[in-house]
Amino acid sequence: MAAPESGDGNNGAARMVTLISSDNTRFEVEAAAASLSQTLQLTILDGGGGGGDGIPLPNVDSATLSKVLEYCIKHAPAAANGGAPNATAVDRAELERFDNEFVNIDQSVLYSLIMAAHNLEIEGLQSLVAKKVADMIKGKSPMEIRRTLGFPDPTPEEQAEMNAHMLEYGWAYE
Amino acid sequence: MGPTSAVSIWAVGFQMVSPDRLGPYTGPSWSDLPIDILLSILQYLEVPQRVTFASVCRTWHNAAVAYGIPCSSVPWFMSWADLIDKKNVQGARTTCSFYHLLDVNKAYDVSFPRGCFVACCGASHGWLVLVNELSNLVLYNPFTMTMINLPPVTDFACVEAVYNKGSLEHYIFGNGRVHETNFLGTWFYQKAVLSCSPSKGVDSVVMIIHRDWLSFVKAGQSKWQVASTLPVRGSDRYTDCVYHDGRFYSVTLHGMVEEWNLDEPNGPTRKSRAPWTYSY
Repeated sequence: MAAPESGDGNNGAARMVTLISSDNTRFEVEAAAASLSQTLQLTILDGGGGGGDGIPLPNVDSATLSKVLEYCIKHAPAAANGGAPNATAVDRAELERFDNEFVNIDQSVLYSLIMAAHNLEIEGLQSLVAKKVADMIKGKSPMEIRRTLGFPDPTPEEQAEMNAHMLEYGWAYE
Repeated sequence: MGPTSAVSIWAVGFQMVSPDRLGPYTGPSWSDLPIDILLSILQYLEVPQRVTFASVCRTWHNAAVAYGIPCSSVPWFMSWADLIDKKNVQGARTTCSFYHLLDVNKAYDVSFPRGCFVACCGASHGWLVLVNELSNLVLYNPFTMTMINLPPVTDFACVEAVYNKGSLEHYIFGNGRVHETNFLGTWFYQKAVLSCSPSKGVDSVVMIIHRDWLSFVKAGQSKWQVASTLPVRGSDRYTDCVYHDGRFYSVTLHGMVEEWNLDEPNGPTRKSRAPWTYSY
């Protein structure tokens, strides 16, 4: 693979790659978008994912992968410009609006997303979801956090540990 | 009555607190997030929120500790001014006000077990060095409520216990003066400092200044060991001691600074240090 096109492929001749989710759904996506994943970028630079091959992603199901790719496609142009220094204020505002909307989803989807972002090494997506989770946590007690994120009820032992810790830092809960 | 088996408890050593026993979790969920992800969430949280985060579950607790949360030993103020007024109320539970650096306007009441708090002569690594009603020193962690008894005051040659029909009646100090059991300790000890938290399973050492003496005890030992004494009628006396980077340091009223090595096989050794004495 000598000198592939400069990466962003914005002239209609964009190189496409195929990703295969854990439940065997195939997603065809621009290489530039998929390359937001540090993990995929290496494979793609090596020429993988083209033709009929496809890159299998055994840790990401199709629902999550489609969501991940939605993010990547939206962010690829800005990422290709090195974090979008040339982007207009309108572009940035639009991206921000997209991001806010994008993470306005159920906690179970957020969980799958952040795990996928971690596995695929998509830094921007991981930060986005992490910030969303942090915002969900703020102002809540440990029990409220557990409920918000769908933790199972604490075992008596866990409850005792939580109590001990809360006692130790009582000031944090009032 | 207060603690009576001080020697044996101390001699067993420090093995109590285990604040970090974190248990297993079932099923993949938020509690199983890799630490990298938890750290990326933590970076969007401020200190009080990080503390809340740490209470959610064990995995989160470990991540928060790795990221950095204030440990209980660092930023608390304890006020025991009220205690002096209540000193005569025998057998009452002692309550002190705690204040946190981040919010000093709010007081948190912390109760102490009966009889363990007549005076306080030091605080290190989250542990208080308290004088109990028998004038013995105890280490007490107000957050884990763990108490460790130090060797009793009668361990010092200058203090003798007087018993009447098997129960402790009073102490005789030095030249024969009689002191009530709960009073001697209020003036006997000046300052105590710990080398590290005794809950960490490492060898912890307590050094105390008492009168003109400097003594210490190591974890697992049942007796105070005298490191140094100053002339009784002399004008100098120990005023402060600290622990830094593996060594205890003491300073006297006249500005004599000494660095202590307590690990020597033949007993403690000292090096004099007087940083403000210029030599030409």
